Amino acid sequence: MTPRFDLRHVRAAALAALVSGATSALPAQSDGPDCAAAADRVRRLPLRADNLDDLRVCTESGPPALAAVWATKVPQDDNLRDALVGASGHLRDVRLYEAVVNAASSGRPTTDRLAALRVLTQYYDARLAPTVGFLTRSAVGDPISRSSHGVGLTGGRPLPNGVRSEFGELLARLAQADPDPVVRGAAVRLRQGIAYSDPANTPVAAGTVKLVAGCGPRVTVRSTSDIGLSLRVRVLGTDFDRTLHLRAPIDGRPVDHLLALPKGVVTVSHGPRELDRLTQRNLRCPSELTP
Amino acid sequence: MDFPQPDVRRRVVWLGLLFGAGFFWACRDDTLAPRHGRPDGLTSAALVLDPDPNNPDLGCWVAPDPASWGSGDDGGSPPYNVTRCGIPVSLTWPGFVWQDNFTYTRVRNGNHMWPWLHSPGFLGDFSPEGWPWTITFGSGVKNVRVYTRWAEFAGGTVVLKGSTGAVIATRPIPLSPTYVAGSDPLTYTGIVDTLAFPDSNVWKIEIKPALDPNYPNEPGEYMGWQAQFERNPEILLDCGNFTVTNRHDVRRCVAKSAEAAKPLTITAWSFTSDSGDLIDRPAAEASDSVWQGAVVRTGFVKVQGTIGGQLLSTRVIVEIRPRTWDSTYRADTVNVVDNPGPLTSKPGALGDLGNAVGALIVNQPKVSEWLGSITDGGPNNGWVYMIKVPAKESSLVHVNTAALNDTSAFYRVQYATDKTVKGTKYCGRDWVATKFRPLADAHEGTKPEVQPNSHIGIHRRTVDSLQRPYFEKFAGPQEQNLTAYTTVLDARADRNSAAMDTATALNNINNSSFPCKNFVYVYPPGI
Repeated sequence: MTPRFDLRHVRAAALAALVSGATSALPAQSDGPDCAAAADRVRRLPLRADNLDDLRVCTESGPPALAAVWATKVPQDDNLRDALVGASGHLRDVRLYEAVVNAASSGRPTTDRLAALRVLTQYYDARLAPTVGFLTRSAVGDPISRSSHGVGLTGGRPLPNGVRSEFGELLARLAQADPDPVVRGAAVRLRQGIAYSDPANTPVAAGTVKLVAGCGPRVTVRSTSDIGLSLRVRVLGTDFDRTLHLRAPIDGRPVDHLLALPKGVVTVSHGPRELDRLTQRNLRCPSELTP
Repeated sequence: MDFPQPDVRRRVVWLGLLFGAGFFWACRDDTLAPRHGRPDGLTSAALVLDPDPNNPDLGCWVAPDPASWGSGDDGGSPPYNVTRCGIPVSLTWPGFVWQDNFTYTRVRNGNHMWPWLHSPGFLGDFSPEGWPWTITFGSGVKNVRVYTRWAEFAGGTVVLKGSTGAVIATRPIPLSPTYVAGSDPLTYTGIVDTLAFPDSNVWKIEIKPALDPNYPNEPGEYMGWQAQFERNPEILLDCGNFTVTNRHDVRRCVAKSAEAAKPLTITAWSFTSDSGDLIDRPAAEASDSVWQGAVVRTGFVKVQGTIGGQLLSTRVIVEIRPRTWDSTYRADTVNVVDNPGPLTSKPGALGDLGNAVGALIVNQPKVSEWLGSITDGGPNNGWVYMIKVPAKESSLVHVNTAALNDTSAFYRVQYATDKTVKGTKYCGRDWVATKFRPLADAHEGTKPEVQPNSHIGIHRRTVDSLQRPYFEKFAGPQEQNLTAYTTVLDARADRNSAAMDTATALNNINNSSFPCKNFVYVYPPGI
């Protein structure tokens, strides 16, 4: 057998990246000569895992072929669906991305939507590889399954720059209002999984985190957010600057964290977003509280 | 001058106290008579300063009475320090310089002690160098009234100074109406009424009599004084030692009034941690004088109450020292090797030949083993703390045994032996069949306990090195999210684990262990 060096070139680039430790997407390469045929097999023939695997390196013909699968015939067989997820997660291309987003957010079967969320998670971070078990059965807050060698390949039409923030916004929407409880639960698990490490891409609904003035130095940080949050509390003009790790509410009851703060305007923020600001702190103390 | 030894002098002074001033007077040597005439018939008792009935007693007093100050000395080694009404007071003066050329030069040995002790108060004979008396009060003094009594002459000043020595106020010692300079026998009483002291500072009073114009070298002869003072009402709060060596220690905080005569009515207690977490004691228990319970965070206990209608508060620091963890306190570890797992017989890159995921997660099924909850009603009531490390190192390793064998598609697409093509060194089939597998095992961490530089080994080592002090920080309100703690530590361990791929020294798949560097990943149809 004579290896074909055009494709090998792609593989060698992947290898070089791995040995050097790179875990982000490799640069886009042109399609190899096998790719058109591989894409044709996926379109015409009953789905096979190895046919889907073959598309992993097809940066031009692979994304539309895989997008078509997402649009029309997401396999119900677990192994085939895993192969679809693996190939789709590897190819970072906007054509494929849009098809997967549609699969995740529309009224598709639950299994399709969970598979789509797995792919979108890899677009968010190539090293994250959530399993179905994670999405459906893990404790909220468990870390998202990872791969030690996450590598993606940039497709002919790269992912949009805002893919990480769009992922966070999608999760917030699904977690808040999706009618499918399984999908809603999966979104909460993923949302919680990135909340602590990436608050910038974890939206928090307006009004769900509040500062409540008490007497004297007292300020209560109150959260009704759907997930646990790491909140930064500051008193402007002072040295007070602390991050609170608040759990999610249980049984709908708000989570209150009582603080004694120096005088001044208090702010609470999550990542770059200020969620609330407290300027009036002049409540008088009843006799049973120390001022 | 020949001074008795201190023990002798102490005995002499106590003798004086026992037998009274009359005894001393009777025993005095005629040579001790003041040169300008001691007031005849004046007994020491007459010079004892009693509180002025026209002025209310301020409650606390000090006077230059060495015996009551804990010393029988005659003033040779100031300062004298004493605590009165909880206020530390120090008394100094420049020195007793007795003028030996006076006709009444004191005989300072044997029984010939001049009767200079009167309690409360003082009667003595001084040269100008002996003045002024300086009284230094610790913080908490509210008002001071100075009584003076003297014979033969009168007047002078009382000076209030601040802690830096700056003069705050000067008051003349008033003369009584019957005073006639130089007349004998005379006794006079002067009262410098209340000097208001600002709170929370150290203050000094200097008492300096006027010079007798007739005998300028003998001011203050037979001078006595008493300083009455009132201390600020104050709550004394004691929480025992300031260091806890074990998180299960119980602290007992007791609050009381500094003066038993002025009772404290407690209205509130609170605890504030060093990072601002606050606990208010429930109102139903707020009047208790004791707050007792486990303390798991460094912070301060604060108590509020009223004394004489005045609202006061005070606080003390309770310091926590991190626990010394036993070596058994560490995260549980579970490493599952699942070969080949999801890895296929047609890997597309070197990274597809193995995978490892280390994760630190909350050890959910064993919550009761690691979480302590305080329910004793004490300063940290309702808070939680760590009994054991609350996390589990759960790792999963896949080595691609579906590809790394001598029958796989991956095996068949490789060159038969190592080969260099256009400058690229490709690995031969023997690497796939046997030689690469040990490298993959060691790289991923199939046995992390003996593979410290594997992905899983590095993850574990990072957690091991940080976990104990790290999870100590969790102690506090139960509204905290433990997952956040495990996530942050897990992320740190993961970064270290991932970094091995770029750190040649830690990577078991490097240029020397894997000199050929490349495999073929192309699978023609039918393979």
